[in-house]
Amino acid sequence: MSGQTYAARAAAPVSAAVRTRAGALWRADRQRVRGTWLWPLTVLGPLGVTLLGVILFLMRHDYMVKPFLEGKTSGFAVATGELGMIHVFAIGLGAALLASMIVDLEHRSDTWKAMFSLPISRWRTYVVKFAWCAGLLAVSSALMSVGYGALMVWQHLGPLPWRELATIGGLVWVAAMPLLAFQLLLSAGFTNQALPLTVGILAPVFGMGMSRIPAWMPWRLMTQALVYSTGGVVSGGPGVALTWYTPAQIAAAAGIETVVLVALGALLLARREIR
Amino acid sequence: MLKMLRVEMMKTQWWLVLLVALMGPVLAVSLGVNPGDASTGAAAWKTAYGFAVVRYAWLFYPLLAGVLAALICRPDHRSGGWKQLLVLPVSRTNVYLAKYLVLAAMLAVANLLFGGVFVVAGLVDHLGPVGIPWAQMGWSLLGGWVAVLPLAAVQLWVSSRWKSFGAALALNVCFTLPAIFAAQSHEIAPWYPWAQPVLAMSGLGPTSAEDIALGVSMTTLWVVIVGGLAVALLGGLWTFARADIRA
Repeated sequence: MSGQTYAARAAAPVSAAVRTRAGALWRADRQRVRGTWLWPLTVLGPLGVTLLGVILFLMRHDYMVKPFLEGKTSGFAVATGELGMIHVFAIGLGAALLASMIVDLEHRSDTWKAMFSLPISRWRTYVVKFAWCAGLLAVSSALMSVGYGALMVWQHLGPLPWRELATIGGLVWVAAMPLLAFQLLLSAGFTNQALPLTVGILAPVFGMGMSRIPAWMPWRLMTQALVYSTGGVVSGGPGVALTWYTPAQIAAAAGIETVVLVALGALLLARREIR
Repeated sequence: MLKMLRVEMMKTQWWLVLLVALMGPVLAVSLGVNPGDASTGAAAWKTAYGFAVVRYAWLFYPLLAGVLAALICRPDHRSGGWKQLLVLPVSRTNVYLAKYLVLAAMLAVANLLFGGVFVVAGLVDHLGPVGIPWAQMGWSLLGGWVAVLPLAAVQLWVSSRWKSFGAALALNVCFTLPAIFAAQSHEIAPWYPWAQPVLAMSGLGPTSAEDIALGVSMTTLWVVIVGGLAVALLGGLWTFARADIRA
């Protein structure tokens, strides 16, 4: 895939872009995302976490299912207790990877220049890229919920708790948005993806237990969402020093941070001199 | 070969390597070195090191190997770097080995930085100047470095072929995340390569047997670490030597 291919793909829907802007930009990015690693990653991530769950159940079946059989915990708690933290790490690292890959397409083939010499709004381009990543992460999150459900059916962990399954997928996704916005800002700002991705792989270190950073920060927010969704402390999660956020607080914090970070990123791209 | 090494050293953006390598330790350490009970001396240092090393080596250090491997191939993936390099009378084996050696050096630097940052942070965080576990740290840092070498070889294998930083790192994430469980399992821990850095560094690995070297059992050291390194390095060399370089 040479630079020309991307340039050609990027330039193709331009006449449409002039008429229906955001929609056309969305379709332009769909062209670009096709045939890259973004889609496989979106599907393989949750699949991998679910497979890990399968291995866990195969290996430690008795230990894990015992509290459920004794009536001490719900089947949902058994399914999410150990996997929950991996789920959060996977979504957090996935956000960093998707954000990096979707702008690295432009960095590597220098299509920024080709795109912005056309009458295309820069901030719309940026927001559409964010929307694409958010959409892909939503697919991943939904698949995670499906994965938990499948594990529960397989292990006969009682009737499926639809509400909880939707919450763990949805709320963690909402809480991941500020982190995604932050990573996209970094990835768009640096041509060399080493720096943004290193910050990205630090996310689990931030989010893990005993973290001293405030709970509203993007990294801790995801753990907060997980703790609410699973209804308690999770393995590897924060311990006693935990701040409990309600879903409304999580959503509000995530919303504000996302808007600010996306606006900042769009502004930086709009102001940047493309060479 | 020496010339190739010098070329690779020159191409490397060392400031970036240092920055990237420093971020993890600084964070792992700044999240709290002192376990909190305000004690000083050898025991407190040991506890503090245990905490810091788990945060650093469980996910960050193996993932860092992927970032650095991609970074070392980056100049060659951009604007026909491979072509320019390989039309010269150099052997591809030497090019690849030089890259691997520089990568290994970077990872050694990263571990030394972690040790340095930890000691400084411990002194700042009132652990006291007495009882710094130099010997334990030395073996731990060495063991972690040896354990990360096969992972680095795998990452260089894919990074030398894939242009995308993200794709190579995605593979790394897929292998590294299961280490969270693998390292805790008695059956899998000795066999899962991506769990070895944290096991070797933290002393969470085998404790009873007498045939322990560098924090892991002899079997693990030779079969998983050395064997894995040989397979990944030869595989990478084989692929790179036959690769069709177009861009």
